[in-house]
Amino acid sequence: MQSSVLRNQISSHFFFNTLNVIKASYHESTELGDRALDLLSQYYRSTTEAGDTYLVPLTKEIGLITSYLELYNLRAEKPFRILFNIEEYEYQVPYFSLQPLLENAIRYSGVNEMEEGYIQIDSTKEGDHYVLVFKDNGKGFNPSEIKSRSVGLRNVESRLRLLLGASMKIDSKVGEGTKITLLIPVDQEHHGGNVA
Amino acid sequence: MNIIVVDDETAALHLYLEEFLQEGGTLTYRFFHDDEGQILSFAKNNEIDGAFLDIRMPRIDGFTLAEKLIRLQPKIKIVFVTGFNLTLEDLSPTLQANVLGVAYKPIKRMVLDQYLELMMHGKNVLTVQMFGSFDCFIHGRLVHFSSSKSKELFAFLLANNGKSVTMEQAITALWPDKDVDKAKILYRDAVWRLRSTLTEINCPCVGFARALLTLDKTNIQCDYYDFLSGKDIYSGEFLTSYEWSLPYEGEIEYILAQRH
Repeated sequence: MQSSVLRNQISSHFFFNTLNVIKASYHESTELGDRALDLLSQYYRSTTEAGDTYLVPLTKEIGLITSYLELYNLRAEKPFRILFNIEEYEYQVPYFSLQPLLENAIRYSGVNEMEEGYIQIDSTKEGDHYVLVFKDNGKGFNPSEIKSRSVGLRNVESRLRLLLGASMKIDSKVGEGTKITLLIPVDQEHHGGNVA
Repeated sequence: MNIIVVDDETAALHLYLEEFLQEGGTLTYRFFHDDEGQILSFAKNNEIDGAFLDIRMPRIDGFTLAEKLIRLQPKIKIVFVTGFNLTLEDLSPTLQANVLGVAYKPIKRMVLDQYLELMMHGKNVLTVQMFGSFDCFIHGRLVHFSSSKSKELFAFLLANNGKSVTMEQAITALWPDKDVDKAKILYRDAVWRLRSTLTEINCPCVGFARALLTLDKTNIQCDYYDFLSGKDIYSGEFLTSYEWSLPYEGEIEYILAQRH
């Protein structure tokens, strides 16, 4: 597994863009600048805590992507919305497993430009699996053509499999949207990985 | 209340503590660099309620200092200040009893306020205004909700005055025009956001069970509750922004009529 993927999570592009936003925010007001600065340090702190073998509670992972999205929305002309359709949340996921999914949705879905566009996260329990769904009603894509953006997803898929014996399924249709389903066994005793 | 701040660099805490004092807060604080002799001598001769300690300093480490301070002042409340990541579970039991938590650099004013309130009162009090528009305040600051519906959901729960609220009741009041399946998703989204907000401000007053919300009024200061227990403070308006507040307003008028 590549630990470097995680170290690159806070890519220089994103980082310097955010510093720029912080600077601009301070010119508007101290409160806004502080808010932006706090968001960035919160997010950066999360990246320094992470390691490839860590599992975290779902609440923490969602907290991470919420900070990321808030940071993104600070400088975006058209912000993204997420709907949290969470029924079950007392289980572990690999740290930074939802992050790449959100990044893809921001880069490719175009839901921020649709009137009824949204990103939605469902979390339920069905039988002996937790079902975690990350979906949007945006542009969609042809799953056989995902070579260029699959590195991040492949990393998530490996960690899900190795740490939790979990699986990932990608469904997408051009013009209709994308749905990524994570199936995580309820019985998480028999897998490796450290619990954070 | 007396507190000390220990840091080898000039702390950003200075700035916020000065702000706090300027805004009318009452406390006295002493700032120390990492001079153990000076600090312990002060602790032997003065009462200290709370201490903000940096963890990594050239001459002493915050944990050792904390243990020594606790021995001198057994009731002292400690907050560790650091740029590093810290797991409180790894601390010795002696320390854990006195440590309130960690404040990560860059320090947030809200975090400082929370710890100061915990040091002073042992708990965080949420002030709720329901007469007029609905707003919540913590440490004198307006609480920011991440969505208007999560704020409205909290108002609905508070209006029920300690009675639990079911998902059905919430949906009927807050999303009367949506189809049931969509409304359930919006409900869960509002619940999730409300939970996050209350966790952020350290006010665990809501119980989140399956399709049920419960309220613990213990650390809530609310004008509506004060009115219900006899205070004559009704302004004539109740939760003006929400359509479902009308029956509650009717009840208030009825109570007023009974009283006069």
